[in-house]
Amino acid sequence: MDDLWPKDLALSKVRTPLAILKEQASLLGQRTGGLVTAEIRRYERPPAIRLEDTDFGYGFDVVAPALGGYRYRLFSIYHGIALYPVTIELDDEAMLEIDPESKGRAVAALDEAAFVRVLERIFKAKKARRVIEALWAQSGA
Amino acid sequence: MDRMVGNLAVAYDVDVFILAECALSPGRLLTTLNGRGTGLYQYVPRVGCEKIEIFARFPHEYLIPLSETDRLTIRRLNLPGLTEVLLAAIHFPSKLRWSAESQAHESVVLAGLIREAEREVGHSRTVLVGDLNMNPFECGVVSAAGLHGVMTRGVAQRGDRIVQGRMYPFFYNPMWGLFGDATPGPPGTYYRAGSEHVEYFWNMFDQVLIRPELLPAFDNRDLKVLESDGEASLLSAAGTPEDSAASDHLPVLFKLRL
Repeated sequence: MDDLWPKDLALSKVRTPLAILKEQASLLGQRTGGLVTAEIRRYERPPAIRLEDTDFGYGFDVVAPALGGYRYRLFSIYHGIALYPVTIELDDEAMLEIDPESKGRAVAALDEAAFVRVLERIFKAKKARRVIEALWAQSGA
Repeated sequence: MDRMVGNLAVAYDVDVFILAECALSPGRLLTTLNGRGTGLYQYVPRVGCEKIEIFARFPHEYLIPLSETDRLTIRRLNLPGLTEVLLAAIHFPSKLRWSAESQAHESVVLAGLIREAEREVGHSRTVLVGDLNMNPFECGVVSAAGLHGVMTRGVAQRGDRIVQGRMYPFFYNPMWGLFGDATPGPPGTYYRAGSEHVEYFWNMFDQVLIRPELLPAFDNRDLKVLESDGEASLLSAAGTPEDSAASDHLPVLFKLRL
């Protein structure tokens, strides 16, 4: 049988935003001995309410299993079927630290490298540190 | 502002104060509250949600944080011998920074977080309270994918509605019944006299929404928009929120008989 698929199909290994989030969630758990972890929750959004390129939505929650499963939504991401660009929605304080010029609550990452850079800035921002350190302390560390 | 809160505690025998964007330090407010002879208030420590302050007349361990964002705190209210309730307190983004469309978009997120919390605890005895920065008739409050707040108990008690194959639970929104000048109390909770064609003047931004499962504990007669703190009027001579008052929103008082 003839192979009718194009010879130059771009089957490169691109890490999906979800895969990157899962990696970082796992690393947080390792760093804290499981006292503070992170979970990713998929958004279910009806098509009528979706904005452009928001077919896939995920919330990144910092979780303290020892505190009755308390969770704090650190940020959310949205992207379309093409994976990138990704829109990252943050709280006001984090937004001010990451992009002081912005008037909104969202940052766009055009590709995987840009997304990783934004994540790094979110994780190093004062709010993220404050929440994680507070949960760590209250979890009896 | 601390004097106003202290007056409210005395006048209305308040068990729980939920304050959005309170400029006063918790310590100062606690000193005022506990100096009025109305019982011992405790500060309910914040975790991730830093825009809401809660003071309660019971140990803070009975109000356990479950799920939060920077503007939302969902807590399990578990008082000894009483049925557990989920208390969700929100300070929603305002129209100064967000369009109505963005607010509607965000209300879907809020509704999702509440439903996730309800799944976590295995019940939906939930009360949502706070400054929604939307009126009860706006898309974010009304739409099925948003808060799905309806104006009558009868509709809310149907439980849920299916739209396009998806099930959406109702909230009962009793704030509808407080609108305008033909009902007791002020016509709304927030007054703005703008210059656009469409101007409501009075808005009902501060709301209490209740899940049908919790309705047996709620009596509409216990719901009030307050125009006095018990000592001083919160309204000017023109009947609008007093400029010199602690807030440009009027407080909302409600009761749950658990």
